[in-house]
Amino acid sequence: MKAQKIAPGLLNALLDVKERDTPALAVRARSLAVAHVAGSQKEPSIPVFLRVKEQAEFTSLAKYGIRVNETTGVVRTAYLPVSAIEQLSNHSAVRRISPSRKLRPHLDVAVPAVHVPQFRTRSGTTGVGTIIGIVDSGIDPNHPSFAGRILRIWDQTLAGPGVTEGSFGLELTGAAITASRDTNGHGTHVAGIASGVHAVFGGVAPSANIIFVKTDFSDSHIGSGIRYIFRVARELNRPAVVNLSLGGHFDAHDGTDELSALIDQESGPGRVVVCAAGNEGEDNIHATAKIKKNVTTRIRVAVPRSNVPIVLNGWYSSKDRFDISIDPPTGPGTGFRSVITTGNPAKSFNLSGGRVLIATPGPDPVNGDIHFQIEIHPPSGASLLRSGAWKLNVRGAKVTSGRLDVWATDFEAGSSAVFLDNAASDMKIGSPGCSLRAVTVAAFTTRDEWVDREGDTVGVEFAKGDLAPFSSPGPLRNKVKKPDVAAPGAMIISALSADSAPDDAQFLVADSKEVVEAGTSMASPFIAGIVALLLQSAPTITPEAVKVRLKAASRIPHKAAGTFANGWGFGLIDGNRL
Amino acid sequence: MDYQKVDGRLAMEYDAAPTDASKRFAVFVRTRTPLSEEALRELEQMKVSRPKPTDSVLTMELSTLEVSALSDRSWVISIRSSHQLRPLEE
Repeated sequence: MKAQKIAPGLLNALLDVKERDTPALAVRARSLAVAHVAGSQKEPSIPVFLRVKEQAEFTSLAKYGIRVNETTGVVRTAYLPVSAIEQLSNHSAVRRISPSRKLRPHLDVAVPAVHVPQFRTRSGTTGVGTIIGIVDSGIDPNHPSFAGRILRIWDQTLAGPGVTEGSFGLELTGAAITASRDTNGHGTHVAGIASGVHAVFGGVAPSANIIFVKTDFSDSHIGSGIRYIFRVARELNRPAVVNLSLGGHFDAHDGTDELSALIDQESGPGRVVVCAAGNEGEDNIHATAKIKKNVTTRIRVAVPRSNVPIVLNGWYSSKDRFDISIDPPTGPGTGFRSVITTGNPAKSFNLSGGRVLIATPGPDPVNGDIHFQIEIHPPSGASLLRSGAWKLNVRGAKVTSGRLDVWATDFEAGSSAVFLDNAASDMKIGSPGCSLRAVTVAAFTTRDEWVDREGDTVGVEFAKGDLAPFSSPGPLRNKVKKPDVAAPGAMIISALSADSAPDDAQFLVADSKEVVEAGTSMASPFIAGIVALLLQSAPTITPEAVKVRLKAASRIPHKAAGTFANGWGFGLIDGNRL
Repeated sequence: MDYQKVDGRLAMEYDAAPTDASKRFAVFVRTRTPLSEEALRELEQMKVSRPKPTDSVLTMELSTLEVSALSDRSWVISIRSSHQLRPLEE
């Protein structure tokens, strides 16, 4: 027997059977789905998962009573006598044998934890007649969780004539939707939370129809995707909620950026947008300082050794004027740049540590504040940034308010650069979570462990029953209260795209079509699904009325109704209070 | 070219190649509403489909030449290049 190919849970079972025979099988009859334990002429048999070589062929094993159900694929299922496991492990094409675990015959923890089934029963809603629009990485068009309910896919990444809202990409309907695939997996997981059909890991609004926009995550394309979904919904005379489990920190963090403004413009009766708050709760991506006249404040930024350019996005009141410079870890910097109100306010510098672009224009024409942006690129002729502590220097030229806020991000909207000085623990919600009319959602932890496909219990350090530590807190830079509410966002089991693979196999669960993920990405579609249920009963409900209902139905644990906190918003949604 | 209406990226691209019509940028355009008939016609010529007088935020694909031309319009408030966002899984 090749014991190293057999999952620990199954090895323990085989050892116990060897020592105790039938009683060992009896106690595992349910957990291992053992058939013919006793009182039968047939051998005790179990279903298993197999990891095998791609083109493996197993007809020779039939004589041992081993039946492998699939003829292709690296993950397959089999049914065999317990006594034949040894024979199976000896087959050269078999890499791993794992037990098939019995799933709980009721909804998983996230949906019942916030009493969604109770709300559905009480309101008689399932999302039928509504549209859930999702702008994301794609959706698995063949996943059984969405069978027959995907109305359209605008795949912005495929070559094609596009749609009214943008002459790029390809619009797909009917059987043609299979031309679009989700190789990332994020969008499929999100869709499953909002609207998946599954006996155990079902979504919130399992009867809603889906309109999907597969995007390249460029924010103007995302804006076009939102418009597309609402336009199609209008043509179909259906109310719609759009889910955006995405974000960045290039904006003013006050809801005046273009994508947030577009959402505010497009929202209305029967048209609601739900956004994730962000996952930077533990990352020092926001710094704040009180700048004094003629005094230089130095804020260090840790820049990694990477080929992804870093962006520093600074904002302050137009009653002030600050001079800005940046120094690399070693060598001379850019020298101070003042606010430039005529001509080109952007200039590039070739420093020893990198090529730097600084833009210091006059007051922003939309919110009236002063904005500067610094980009740090790899040096000319090099592929990597100079890592280390870069220094942002800010000197007050004219000071009335003095408050400065800066956010660090990179060209992939990540948090690879972090502040070493003046780091602030608030105001980490960026666009589009800043949209004033959108419902912005924080993440709550309902599960801190699960059983993976190998039968092993995997755990995370997030405290169950509390706000997830990564959830980005508000408020907005202009003190507007955000996020709005919290919903389950860790650890969430939902649909797995067949065209994707998680980075770590521990996130695969026994059901081969589901995967575990975490993030405010997972919390947002939870609320989007609830909004779809509300839209079924009230197809012309406005975003403002939706927020009133969600706020009234949410609570921060151990706090009075209506209490707001920067991390929680108005608290965890409760279907019993909706 | 009104530099105060465009972001640093577009300003630098314009300075590098002011007459280049081949390179196109995904942008947001903020406008003063209501948009006039003339503004709507100009937007349609720039391949915006069925613009409305109430459209205060538009998404477009523009060359640096078109960015420059639009920035000089009184009904344009700002032109900002599209940024890359990311999915929010932890």
